[in-house]
Amino acid sequence: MRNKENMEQLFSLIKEKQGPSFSMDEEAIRQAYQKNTEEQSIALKILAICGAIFGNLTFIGFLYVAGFYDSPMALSIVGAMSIVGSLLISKFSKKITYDALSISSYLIGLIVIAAALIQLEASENIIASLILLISIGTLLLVENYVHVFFAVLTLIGALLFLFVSNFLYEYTVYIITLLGLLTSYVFLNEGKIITRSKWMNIRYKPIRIALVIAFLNCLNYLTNYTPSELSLVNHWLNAVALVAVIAWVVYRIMENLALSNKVHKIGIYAFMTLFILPTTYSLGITGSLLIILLSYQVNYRTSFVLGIIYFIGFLIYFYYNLQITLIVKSMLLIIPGILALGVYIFTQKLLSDEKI
Amino acid sequence: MKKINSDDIHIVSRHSNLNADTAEQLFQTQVYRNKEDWKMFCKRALLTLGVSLTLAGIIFFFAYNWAELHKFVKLGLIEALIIGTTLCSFSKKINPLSRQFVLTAAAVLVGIFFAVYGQIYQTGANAYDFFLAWTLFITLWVILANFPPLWLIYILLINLTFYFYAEQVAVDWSSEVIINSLFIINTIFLICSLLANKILENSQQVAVIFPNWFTTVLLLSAVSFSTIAAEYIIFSNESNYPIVTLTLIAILYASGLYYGFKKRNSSYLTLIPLSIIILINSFFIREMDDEIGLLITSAFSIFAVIIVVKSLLGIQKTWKNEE
Repeated sequence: MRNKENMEQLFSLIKEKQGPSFSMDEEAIRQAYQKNTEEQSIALKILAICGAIFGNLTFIGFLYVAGFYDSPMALSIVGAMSIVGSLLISKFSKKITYDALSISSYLIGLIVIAAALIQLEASENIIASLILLISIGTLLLVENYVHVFFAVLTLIGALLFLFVSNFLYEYTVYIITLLGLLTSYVFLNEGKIITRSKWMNIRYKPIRIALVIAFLNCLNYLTNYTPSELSLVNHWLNAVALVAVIAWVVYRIMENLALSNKVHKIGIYAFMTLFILPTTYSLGITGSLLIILLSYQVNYRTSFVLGIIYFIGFLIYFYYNLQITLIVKSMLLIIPGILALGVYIFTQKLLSDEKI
Repeated sequence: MKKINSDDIHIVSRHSNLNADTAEQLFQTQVYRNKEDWKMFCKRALLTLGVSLTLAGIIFFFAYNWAELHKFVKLGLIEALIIGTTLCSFSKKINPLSRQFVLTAAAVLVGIFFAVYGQIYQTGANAYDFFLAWTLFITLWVILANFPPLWLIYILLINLTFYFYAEQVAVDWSSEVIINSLFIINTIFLICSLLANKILENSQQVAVIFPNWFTTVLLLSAVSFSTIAAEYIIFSNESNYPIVTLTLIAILYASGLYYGFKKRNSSYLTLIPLSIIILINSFFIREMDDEIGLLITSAFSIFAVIIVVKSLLGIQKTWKNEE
């Protein structure tokens, strides 16, 4: 946590950039730092999540054994009460201590409401739509990090489910590309978004990580649909769109770094296009490269590590892709590999001592 | 001044009239990667991707032709890689970290060699023989490299060797003996790594060799097996050594909590209470397997975690004040 001297230095740096019009609530900032230190402990977050999972499992077991599953009405009431209770706890207690209770109630509520609707033989569309609405409501009303995180994940999950259950799975690839575009926008416009309103500021970080996880997992889902099952037109249209998103991200990064040399810029775009194109056969590889670029630019380690893990996973999964032969896969890997090595050797001197 | 991070900008922005341009400037200059970072990234990424994609492509190429390759070519290829990587590790041009990575790659290739050997000659050897041979043959490299990730691979191989020995050779051993043995093996590894750190710390000859993450993984492994061992006692009527096992677990947990408190390591103060909560839950479920029992268990899980989190926060605050 920052001490008083550090904070004074931080404020004067900001005043230097913004000018005398800058004003702040110092006491609120001090309290926010105090809370932030508590929330930073990953061990405590894991403990809270484990508590939520145990609580969930045993409570659902209780509902089953007590016969609640025979009564959709009882299940609906329990589910609604759990969700409302969770939102109230989150609203009135900002302490990480009660996160386990709050998250547990929220997840129990969602599962139980879905179970109640299944008992009532409601259609999949209605169940998914209700979960979608609950997620939107949670996102609007709650500030708790983990709640917002789960809300975004369930929102995207419900949306995709609606597409898949209505046999529009071919078009899910468009949603995934839009998700990639949205994630890129969120990463590259952090300053604009967090200063827009306090509402956005508080929700920015959980939304960002939820988008990354949703995007990577949607790509994972997509890799189960090989081009012959997914229409080739849809696959390649989205491959082109994803390459365009990466090109836009590279453009923004070069703009931020104030790169002026046109030859270098053209070289970077040419290399990027030639390198990325063979990977578009597996959109998972292309998408995870996008996340790696974004995360590195904004210095966000968690998402950078996730990007690398998924990249390696998609590469391994590519081995088991039955639609193309090993010899073609071999070429699709060797070409960008040799290209990267060639560029490395060619630009050794440039990357070592020349100023860009 | 402490370097500005993104949390600082988020917190200040929330409680001030910080405008978008200033926020962007602060992110660009204080948080985001600069040209030097990107140069370093490009250098490493081009080399890593270049080598790994080319290697992967070559592996896929050989996989395509694998069935047609002569057995000597198959074994020769892997042997050449083992020899190549080992010789590479002797080179004075590479830095110590790269040397350790290269020796790790060589150690993994030894396992691949034995796997291919077994596949070609259909020796009838079981998994226990495979893991035992792999473990024994890389022992010297593990000691010489002194690289925590390689030590972790080695410990994993020892666990697997023991497990397959119990499953395929010592078939008369009960599940309880196997689980308890794995618990003891992993606890011994944990204690040895902590002792090694303490001895080297005191002798001041060399920096600590087993980093925090390494001992945390060993702790997780020891606590996982101790939890499984205790679960076996709770749910099985055939336990032969309940008192001995529970006593050992109690000693491990008490020592772990004391050590965690003394060394200000939250991992011990999180994992051990979590294990205890799981065990108490299991006890409740065994004793009260009706709906009331499940409700009590559910409530206990949540409130126990609340109490532990509250206590941990208090302890962390005390540590911070003492600093």
